[in-house]
Amino acid sequence: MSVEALSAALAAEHAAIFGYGVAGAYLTGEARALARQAETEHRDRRDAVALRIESAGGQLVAAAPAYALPVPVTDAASAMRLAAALEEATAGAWREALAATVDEERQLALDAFIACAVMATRWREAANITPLTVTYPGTT
Amino acid sequence: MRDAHRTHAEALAQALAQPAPTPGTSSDGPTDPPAVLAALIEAETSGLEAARTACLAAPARLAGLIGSMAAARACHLEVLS
Repeated sequence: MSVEALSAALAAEHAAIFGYGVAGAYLTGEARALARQAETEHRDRRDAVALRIESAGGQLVAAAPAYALPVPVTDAASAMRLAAALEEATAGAWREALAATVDEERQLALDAFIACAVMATRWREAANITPLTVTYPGTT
Repeated sequence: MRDAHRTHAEALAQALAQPAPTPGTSSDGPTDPPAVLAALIEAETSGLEAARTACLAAPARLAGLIGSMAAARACHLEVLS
């Protein structure tokens, strides 16, 4: 197992959770529910990957107090664009982990990569961002 | 989505040092919109599972590409479904 690759994914999950804390404050209704769902998924993945790293004797990357956001958030539309960007960023981190992992760790990375890519698509749809899908998720 | 599949096929062929694939024809497929949609969903679903399985068994140099193919197909399904 590559602790380094999984640690990078853990750091991305920390950043996504922080980002959803910002985005969620600007969202209502279905978008807010989707943000809650996505944040829960990131927290679950954070815990799962942290457990893997600890089990391998690795040092856990701590969450930072704050993260620079890839999209400035001023309203619901920008909050949804941020959510899409957060999902693309985490998808990219998990994509990178694929080459450095095997067996159960690769399964973890692949499931996470796919889940983040699909969530990014859902946010693009919610925010009317086109195209809805990208050729290489996690690279935009 | 069609272009993404073509790009993936070409990238995989290049990674495997094989000739670029030739796009097939769809003249024998369904023509009415609901049936076309159902066929697309079926094709994306089976393609997703094939890519998932291949990614888990792939050497490191191909894992990212094949994983991307799986993720893209999952995204296609999200839009089509």
